[in-house]
Amino acid sequence: MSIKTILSHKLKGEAIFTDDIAPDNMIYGYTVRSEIPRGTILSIKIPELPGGYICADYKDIPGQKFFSTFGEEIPYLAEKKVHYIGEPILLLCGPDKQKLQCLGEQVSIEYKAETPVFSPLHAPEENIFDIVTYSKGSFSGLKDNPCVSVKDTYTTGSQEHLSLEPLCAVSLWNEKSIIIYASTLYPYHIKDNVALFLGVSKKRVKVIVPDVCAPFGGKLFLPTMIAAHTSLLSYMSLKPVKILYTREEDITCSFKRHPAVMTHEIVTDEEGNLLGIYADIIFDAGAYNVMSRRIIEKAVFSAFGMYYCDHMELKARLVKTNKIPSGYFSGSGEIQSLFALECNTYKIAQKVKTDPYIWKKKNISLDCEKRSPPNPGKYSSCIAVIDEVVRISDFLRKYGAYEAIKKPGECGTVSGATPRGIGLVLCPHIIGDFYETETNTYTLTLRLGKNRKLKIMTSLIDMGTSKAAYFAMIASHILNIHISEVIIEKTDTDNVPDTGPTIGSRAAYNIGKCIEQACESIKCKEKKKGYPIEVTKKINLPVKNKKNAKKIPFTPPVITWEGTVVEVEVDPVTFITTCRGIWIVLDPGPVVNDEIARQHVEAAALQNFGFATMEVLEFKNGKVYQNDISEYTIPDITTVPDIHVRFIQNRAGIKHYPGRGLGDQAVTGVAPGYISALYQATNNSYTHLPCTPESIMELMQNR
Amino acid sequence: MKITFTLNGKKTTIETSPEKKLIDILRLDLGLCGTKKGCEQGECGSCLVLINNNLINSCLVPAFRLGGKDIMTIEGFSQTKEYSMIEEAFLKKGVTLCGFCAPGVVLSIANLLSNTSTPSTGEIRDALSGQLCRCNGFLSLIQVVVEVFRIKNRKKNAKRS
Amino acid sequence: MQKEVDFRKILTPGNVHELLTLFSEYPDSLLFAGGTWIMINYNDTPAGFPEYIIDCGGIEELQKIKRTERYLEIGALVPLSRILGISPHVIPPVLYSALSMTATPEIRRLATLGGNININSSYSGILTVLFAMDCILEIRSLQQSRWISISELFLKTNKKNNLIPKDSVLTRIRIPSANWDFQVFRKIARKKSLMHCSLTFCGLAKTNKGILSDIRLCFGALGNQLFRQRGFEIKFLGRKLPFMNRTIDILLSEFGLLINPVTDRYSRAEYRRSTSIRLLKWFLEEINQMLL
Repeated sequence: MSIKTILSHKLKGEAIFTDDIAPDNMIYGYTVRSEIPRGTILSIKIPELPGGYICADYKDIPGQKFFSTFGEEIPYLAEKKVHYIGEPILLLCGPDKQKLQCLGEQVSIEYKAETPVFSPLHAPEENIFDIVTYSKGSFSGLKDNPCVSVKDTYTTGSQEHLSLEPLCAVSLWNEKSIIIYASTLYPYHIKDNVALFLGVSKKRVKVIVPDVCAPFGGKLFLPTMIAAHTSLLSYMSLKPVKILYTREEDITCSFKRHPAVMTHEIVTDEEGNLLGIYADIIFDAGAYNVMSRRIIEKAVFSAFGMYYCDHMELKARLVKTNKIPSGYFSGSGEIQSLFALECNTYKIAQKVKTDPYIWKKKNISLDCEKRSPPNPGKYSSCIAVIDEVVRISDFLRKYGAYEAIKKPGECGTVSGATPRGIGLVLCPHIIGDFYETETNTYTLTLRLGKNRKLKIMTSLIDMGTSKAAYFAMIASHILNIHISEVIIEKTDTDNVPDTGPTIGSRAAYNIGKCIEQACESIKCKEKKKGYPIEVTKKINLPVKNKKNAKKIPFTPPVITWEGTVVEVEVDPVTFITTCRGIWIVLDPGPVVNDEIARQHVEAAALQNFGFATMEVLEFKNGKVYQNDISEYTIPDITTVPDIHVRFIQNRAGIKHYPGRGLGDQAVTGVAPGYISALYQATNNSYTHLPCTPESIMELMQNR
Repeated sequence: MKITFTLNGKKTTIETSPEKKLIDILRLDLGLCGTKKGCEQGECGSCLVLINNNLINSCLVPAFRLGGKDIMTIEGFSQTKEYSMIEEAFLKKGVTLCGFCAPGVVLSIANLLSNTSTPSTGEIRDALSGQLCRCNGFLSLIQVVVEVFRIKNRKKNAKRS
Repeated sequence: MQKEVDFRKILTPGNVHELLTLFSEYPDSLLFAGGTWIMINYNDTPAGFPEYIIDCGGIEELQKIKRTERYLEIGALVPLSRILGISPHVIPPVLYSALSMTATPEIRRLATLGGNININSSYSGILTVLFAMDCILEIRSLQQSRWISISELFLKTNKKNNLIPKDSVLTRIRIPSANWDFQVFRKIARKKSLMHCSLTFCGLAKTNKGILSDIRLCFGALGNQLFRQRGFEIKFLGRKLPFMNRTIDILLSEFGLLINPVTDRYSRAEYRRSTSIRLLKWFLEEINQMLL
């Protein structure tokens, strides 16, 4: 389908999602879950099941009982031990959904409860999944000399992806092979794992991915578990089986963003020259380790951002607790530690009585920019980005004005005007990062037919039409064909190769690069050979800058710079905040499609804004407290602030598309920008995300 | 119970239990899957349909309220002239959606289109306030609505002259 | 497949008398007006619907809006969107604000004013306003019909989801016309459409020759019930304006002793307490400001 047709299909409601698939004789599955956060299952009492109803537990699994993630292996169904509330224990299936629910509620499980661990701070040593330390110079020695320092402990909460399409899978077992429809971002993960799970060869597992709504990478690993559940039930009942999570199940039982506790300290001399940075980061991984190393690597890099100095010390840990596992969420790792870093830089600038713009420009280490290949060093994107965002937001004038009118030490102004503040953030985004390893063999295939129609075959999922449009534009640019001549093959594991997980920046940079290379080889072959020309390319490991990698831990291959300004007004009566505007400037290299890129940035900014202001997700005794769509609140059109997006398209060092890409989470600066603005407006240091009127009030009163 | 209503211009009679939700009747009994089920609480707007030209969450309407009603789902609306204006605006503005909330968004715009001549940004925000979306930052949707009205007025003026 | 629910009967009265007859015949039946609250809350267990449902949708006499010099009268089955459609000069601005901050436009098309009152949610901004305005409700049963003030009903009921006595039906709502010199409605929520919020506040005040002649102060979402105490309001009456700072402080500390906020998943008790006090202070200072 061409891009225009795809969009038209979506608008007309013709897009088929997994729940829209209902084969004849289909029955439904139901998941019985652990009600306690930690313990051992002693006994399970199952009510008498009427005809046509089946029950399955771990003993019924014919093959492997665990599925792989980028971290540890996770059981499909709990065997003896349960590690979090909501962990699947038992499956039921049958023709009537309501009856199934009644039966499910009648299952009674007896446990021997163990003392759960809810806070990563109070976890024993053995709960540490992963740990990274780094040190350079002597941070602790800095304070022997006169210096200025800011130290704070920051915390960020859990966050729900809240994809409007709930998790869903349908499986059809036909005695020999299985067809699985699933709402997933990683179809081959399902194929490979379900084959092992059922003990059949991979050839006999076919995964089809219909249209998917999976914002912010929410459906990376969990769909594999659901697909396995439906497959087992279909295998046992010999009928097609569907599991559709209810909204509550979706919120309470899906993997979340890693909550974090970060102690961050910056030391400068009395003129504000950066001397050292210290960071201690603790991630709450939940019950299973889903992708530890990648989270930590990103966090470590972002804890220093662009401020490399002589004395740096860092410790990052990922700790197991008895809560829902934390999984992949756009900007995993970086969003948390950049929040701590950028809030601290704002504070230190205020402390040494410089404005944050001057402080940042003075202390940015351009050395850090140079080590990332497409950033050539002669021209500094990072300086260009901060200059531009300061210009378009009128930051300097506003910052000065708000400083001048604020009443020292309280939430108020000398003129009686509503208190306002403005925050400035500069941060690097990790592009094309750590998902490619030497052992992976992710590929994609391009085929140019006689009529010069190009077919792109990839298992990457296209939500919206943005990826399709993006790939098509790269191809049409290089091969000089019209965009409508580029066709993206439907995601069916029988027809497309394994391209790996669908993750924003990876799709943009690594896959984009691969498409570029494949098009180049087609172009070469076209001169010599007849049609059709088919090229299969391995997704390459982005070039690593080995020289610098030694100096700095986890140097990402490519960096994109983001400059963000957030302006906030605070009602001194209710402490409700109004965001007066968000200005974002990015340098992703040449932008393939301005409109799509801008929308991508807006959506990411809004999600980041929600994370900063209203997306409260708490746990009570290990249970998700805000378990409903009316309780877990995401921004809607009435709350979206004005977001002004600009791209600086620095082409230096870049041949074709893609330049650098927009980043996994295209915007991470809104949250620290918002908190910095609040800091200026209310003279108070907020350290927790999301920062609600309740938290502002608490700090104001406890002062 | 037996219920007769007009669905996308066609008289339709179904046999159903009285409290069954319209969304389930549409999706499960009639196979019209363009109406999506996002929350079943009237919060997300994915299940919006037009009932007697009023925009309503189909997850909040039971079968017994449907007798004699004129129901228009996205399947029916996408055949209209108004729809083509909306699609034209989406294409022109290059707005991308995952397709889950899109039918609801389209019908919200349709509803605004039939009730207002040139809405302010505030009115547009209010009209789409029953709609949740995570893939789009909403600001481009506002531009789409502005564009829809531009197209509508252009067509109106063309007719006049 | 749905056999066990097929016995369910839908009764469709065409007028209030039929409604009352049916309701007395089937006292355990479910009254279905706009149905939004019912459909959301029966979500998980559709089997939980009672055997008889009385569909009130066809009762036209309860869908009327009438206006006299003394009051605005709204039928219990008038949808919220229709009230918002009335000319803004007719409908009190605080009620307009409260209505426009209730749910989404789509839900407001279904939800009725009577339904919103009957749910008796302390989060309801509409109830906060109606309570502050001393509106009166017509309650009817087969035996009798009476007009009763909303405050009297609040005094009688302690139950959460049942404001109207079990054998009766709410038929009409009268909002007295009064020329308030100051009127304010505030709702504090993460999003304005959310039912569950941190706080709602309706403040009304009237002055006469520099004297405060009437005041109404009603808070929602503070606890399980709306907060309004005439005994507290009376302490303001007859006071010379502007209020002195000392007076404000005394009244505020008295107010602090009267309220007993709760913590729930939407907000915290401390926030509710201190914000309601600050809102009240702000309201009193606004009165002072406007007099200047």
